[in-house]
Amino acid sequence: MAREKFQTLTEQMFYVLLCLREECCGMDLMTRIGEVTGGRVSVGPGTLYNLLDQFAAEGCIVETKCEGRRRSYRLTLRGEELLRGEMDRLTAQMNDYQRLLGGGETPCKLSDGN
Amino acid sequence: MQAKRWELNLYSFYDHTGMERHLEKMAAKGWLLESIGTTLWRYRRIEPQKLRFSVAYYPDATESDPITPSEGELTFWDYCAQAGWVRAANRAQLHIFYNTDENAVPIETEAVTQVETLHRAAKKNYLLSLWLLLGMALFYTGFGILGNSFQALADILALRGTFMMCLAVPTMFLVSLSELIGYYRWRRRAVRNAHELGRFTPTRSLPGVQLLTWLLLALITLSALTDSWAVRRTFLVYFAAFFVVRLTHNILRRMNASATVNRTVTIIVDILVCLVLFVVFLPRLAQEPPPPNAEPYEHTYLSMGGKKTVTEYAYHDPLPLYVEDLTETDYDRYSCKREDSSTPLVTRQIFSQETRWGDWDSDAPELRCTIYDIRLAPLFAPCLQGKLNEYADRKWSMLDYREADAAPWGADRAWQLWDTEDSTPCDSWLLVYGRRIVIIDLGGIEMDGARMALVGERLGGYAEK
Repeated sequence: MAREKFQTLTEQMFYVLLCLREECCGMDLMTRIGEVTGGRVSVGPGTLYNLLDQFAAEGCIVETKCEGRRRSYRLTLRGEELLRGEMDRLTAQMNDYQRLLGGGETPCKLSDGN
Repeated sequence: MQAKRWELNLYSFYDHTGMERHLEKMAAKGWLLESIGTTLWRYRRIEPQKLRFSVAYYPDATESDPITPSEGELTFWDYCAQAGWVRAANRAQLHIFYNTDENAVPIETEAVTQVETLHRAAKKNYLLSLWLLLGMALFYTGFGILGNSFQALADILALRGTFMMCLAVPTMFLVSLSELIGYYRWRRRAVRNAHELGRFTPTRSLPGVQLLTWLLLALITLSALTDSWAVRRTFLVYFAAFFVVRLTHNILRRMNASATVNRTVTIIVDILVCLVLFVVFLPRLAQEPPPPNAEPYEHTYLSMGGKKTVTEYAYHDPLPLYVEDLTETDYDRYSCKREDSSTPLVTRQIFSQETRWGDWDSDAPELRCTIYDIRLAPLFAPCLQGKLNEYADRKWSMLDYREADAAPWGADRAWQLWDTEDSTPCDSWLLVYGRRIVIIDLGGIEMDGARMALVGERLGGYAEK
């Protein structure tokens, strides 16, 4: 399993989960991720297919609709936790940067309010 | 103009970089991949163009899947089609796509997922078959060592079948080990690059090793098909058995039987074919028809159930040395048989002059001889040692070779076989002339200096005809 069972998320894993906060068809996710990131992040079809498969197997997303071969998914509570954990990790990184190089302020709060 | 083209696949399963580069070159030359077979890739003629290829891995597929693609595979292809990737061909876990857009989003955009997906796919068939091949190579090597094959080294190297086996086992080792090392080395680097740097790691295979395997297979086939009729028949029966199993597997795939049903039925057919092969065919094939120069004669003997008559064969082959050259004899019903076998490493001649079955009372002298010519110098010492050790196992043997005077034989070295129990010499000698080993058994012939010299003259310098 990628990254020791998603202990940390790659950028593409992060955006796949983020874009599934709203129900979305797997095939449309490639376009949605491109729109959300302003074209900065692209997820290839093979990567997307395998990530959806792995996230579903780990219970991070759930299949909500199946119209022919168009399957839609949505984030689960476990997926939300995973996403929040990753956000906290990134925030902590950003705060460390800010404290050491960006003038000493702590600009962001972690999800538990600290 | 040629519309189709076939090509031997020399790329390792995991070498997507090599395959992609090669397919792009082929498209630029006007050939587009359209089918992946077990060993051959088929191309169709297209306008030469710049196409971008991508090799993707679909781990859920197996070799036994129905020919109709699964829902999962169709969905995977839909995803790829959405990004502009057109499927060129697929086989089991290997799916190959092409794209006319040079700037299209790649099929794999994340190294961590790619490495893990490839590994899941590789575990299904590729790695499993390589570990099995390595296991078989180890088994045969162990079997050879434990079975004291070194004692029979000269004979193993002289016979085409066993010589081919000697070539096949190291090749099995080389192929399986180099592929496994290549894959796991790549995987170690790829996992590190993916996790630490988020980078893909290019792959490469060893086409030379793959080519060597195919050359060896071609050599074994050619050797078997040009060997004796018995070997040819056995080879063709094995080939037919393999064909029946493959045919069953392919028919079930075309009938859209599930992978589990396909595997179960194929295994059952495999077992049945093996039973038929080993119980019915091979024992019959082992009974070689008499060669055209054989003279049949009837031999009657007494057994528990009364008199029995069997057909035996006498031969009249020309021999380099006859009993009559060495001693006088009244017996005139000798069977003179000679069998030659040769490989690039060792030539073996076995000849004998023996009395016929049933003529036990004649007490006529007999002669049996085997000559080995070792063509490769480094093999001479182990071949000779093997022959000298032939009776070394005291559990089974009361015989032993003891060095004798080589001068009367005109040989470089000579040994005589001794019965160790009562310490008496036997009428058997092992003589060495250069890289020639002569093992001669002269039952009932009293040997003196002149006779020994004659043997040396006839067999020591006896040129291979």
